[in-house]
Amino acid sequence: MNIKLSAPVVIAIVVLILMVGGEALVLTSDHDSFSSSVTHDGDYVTVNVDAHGSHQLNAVSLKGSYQTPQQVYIYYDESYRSVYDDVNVAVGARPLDQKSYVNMMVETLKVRDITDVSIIDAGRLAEITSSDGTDIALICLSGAFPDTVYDGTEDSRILDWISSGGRLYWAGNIIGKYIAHTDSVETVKNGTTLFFGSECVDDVETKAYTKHEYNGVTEALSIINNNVRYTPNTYYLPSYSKYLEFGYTDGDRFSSIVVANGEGSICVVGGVYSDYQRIDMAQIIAAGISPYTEVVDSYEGAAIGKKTVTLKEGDTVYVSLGGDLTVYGKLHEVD
Amino acid sequence: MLGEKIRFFCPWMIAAIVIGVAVRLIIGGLLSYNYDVFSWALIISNIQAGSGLYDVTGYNYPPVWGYILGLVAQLTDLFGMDVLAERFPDLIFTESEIANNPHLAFTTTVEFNVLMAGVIAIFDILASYLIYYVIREVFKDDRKAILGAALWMLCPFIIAVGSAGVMFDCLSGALALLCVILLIKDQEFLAGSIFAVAVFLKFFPAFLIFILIAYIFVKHREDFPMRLGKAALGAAIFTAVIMVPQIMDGHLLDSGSFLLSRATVSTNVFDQYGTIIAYAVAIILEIVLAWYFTKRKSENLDMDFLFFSFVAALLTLIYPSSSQYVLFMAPFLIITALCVDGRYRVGLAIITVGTTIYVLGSSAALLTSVMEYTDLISFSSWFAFDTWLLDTKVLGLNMYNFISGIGGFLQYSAILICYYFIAKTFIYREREFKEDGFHH
Repeated sequence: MNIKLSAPVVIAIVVLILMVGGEALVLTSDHDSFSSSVTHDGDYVTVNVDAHGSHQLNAVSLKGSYQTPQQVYIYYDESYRSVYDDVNVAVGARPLDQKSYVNMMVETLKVRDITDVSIIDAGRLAEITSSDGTDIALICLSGAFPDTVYDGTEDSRILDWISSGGRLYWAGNIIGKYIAHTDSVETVKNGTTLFFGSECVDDVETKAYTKHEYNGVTEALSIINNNVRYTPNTYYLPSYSKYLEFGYTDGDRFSSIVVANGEGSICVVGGVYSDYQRIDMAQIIAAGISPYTEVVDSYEGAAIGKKTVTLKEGDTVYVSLGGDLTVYGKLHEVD
Repeated sequence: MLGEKIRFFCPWMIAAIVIGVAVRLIIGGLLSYNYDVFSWALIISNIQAGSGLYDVTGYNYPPVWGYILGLVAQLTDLFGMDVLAERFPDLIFTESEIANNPHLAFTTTVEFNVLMAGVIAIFDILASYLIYYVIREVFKDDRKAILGAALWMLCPFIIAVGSAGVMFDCLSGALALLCVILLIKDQEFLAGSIFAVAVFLKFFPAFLIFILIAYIFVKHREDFPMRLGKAALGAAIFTAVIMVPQIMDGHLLDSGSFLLSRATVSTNVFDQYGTIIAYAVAIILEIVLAWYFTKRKSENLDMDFLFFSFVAALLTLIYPSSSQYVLFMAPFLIITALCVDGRYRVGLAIITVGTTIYVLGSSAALLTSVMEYTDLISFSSWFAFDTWLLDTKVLGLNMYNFISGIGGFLQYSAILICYYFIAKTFIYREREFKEDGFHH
């Protein structure tokens, strides 16, 4: 090559070097760059965080929450029908369908330190729900349970699995309303009652504009979704229901809610498919939010490099970095 | 007075750079369109989270801009920016307010907006220098070189697109011009390398491929295959450097969603097929232009090459475009208007007014950062302004659509005027070859 140094040549070389440098930074950027740990100190816990740069730090001490699930399953089976609404995306963006949602959910959980995630079909779902559900999380975004686990009666395998201790995370449609077959969808009358004890979910399209700050979960987890469609109306939930509501509210419905069901729970994140919904669901799973969760103490502030904060003792501490644009999350058990 | 032999960093130019950068930073801080600048914050967060460019929603362009944001991510850490953007409940109502005028309740911090305006200002200084360099080298006119460079730094629509729109198309224009300059300097390998970077920044420079090859052919008829081979090698190597990691991760189609989804998501039949037809026509015209370039006798090949590159870049705007796309051809327009044919100054003047209005006058979303993060504007004042824009009707359009419509109309009018001058030039050349408009 006959390259004579002149201003354009130098500029070109600098541009190429910067581009390759930026590429290297993107390709080598890793979730493991961040770290956090928790040490027990009397009635307090000390949280040490390496923010690997500058990020908003949220640390929340929780009581009554779940531990990190041993295994997360995401149901996705192209051979079975799904019932969810098409959504508009920004011009130039990729379509947000169930497949891309599922793939992005895996990545979103990974950022929050949950790496044991499996995508399962209807057959495998039947196998899993045949066993005890304790410490297992199941994400269902299809809008309809397949007929391998749900037949529209109280004898459905999915109901037994939840009440045995399983954690179901649901989004995209009215829970219990549809049974998916390979070639059709069957509508179940009063199917929601099987899950919540009453017909408390409708499909009225509603966005909520008020942040629900009552129990501290919304701020602590940087909940961002404000769509309450398909979430149970708490006014119509049976009086015996134990639930934790957070996110945004239109009064009786909340963009996120975790409702107890036997030993397990059902979490519904509202609305049609959206990125905000996916991010909130991942955050809820990672933080181990249960119907019995209580915020004991929390911290929000800047973390530049290494940072140490002290919180009142709870059962678990969830640490996240990035605020509304979360770049890291990790749940710690307090010994 | 400006004399001969003027260096780029002369007092006039330093003043233009200082003023231009200061205005960019102020505009960037006060008037950033939250929809696009939030995307850059989101992508930076995705990169920092280890999700790369395409693993989750956020990035819809080819990879190069994402790689640049990878560098910017280091700056946000360096400057201690712990918060890049937040979602504000009081802005949620705007998210479904108007179709085709996207708003977000997510709003970036003033500091992040200033940082992005600063990054784009660096691209502008690069473009400015390249304009200076090529005018001085090809047209041997230092005064116009400085004028062109200063014009880029101080031109309202360049500032508006980069600082208020926070779009990086000035870099696309700068890289296209750099590619042209490198070919003029017989640096085919580097030209090919930069061409690949430019194409995978924002695709539009790909339209120049025909005129670039034509120039190599005309200038190096004897060793054309070897020269073209060097350019192709540079382009191939950097295409591989840029794309192979993304292809290996299964993101080939994702990196093209900027183009692919635009042709499929629109529900407007005119939009859906109009762009495809327009760009097909543009490609045919690019080929004809390049063929014509190889057939004509040139008195000054490099001057003609710059003019033909301008025409080739202008052809990418054959379909009415967003405001930022004009910046790809803007360096060539300034060079042409100053050094080739003064008539194009009319087009430059109209585009300056039109594109500036298009960017600045169409949305209250420009003010959300200042409203949420400072005390300069209260929510009630902002809301009153937003309501006025929405509810005030002119000719049946609300002010949003009316103002942006005027801006868009003026912008496209300027492009059509330039097409008219070009058509006149070429038709006139057919009859009186030596008295055309671009050989003074």
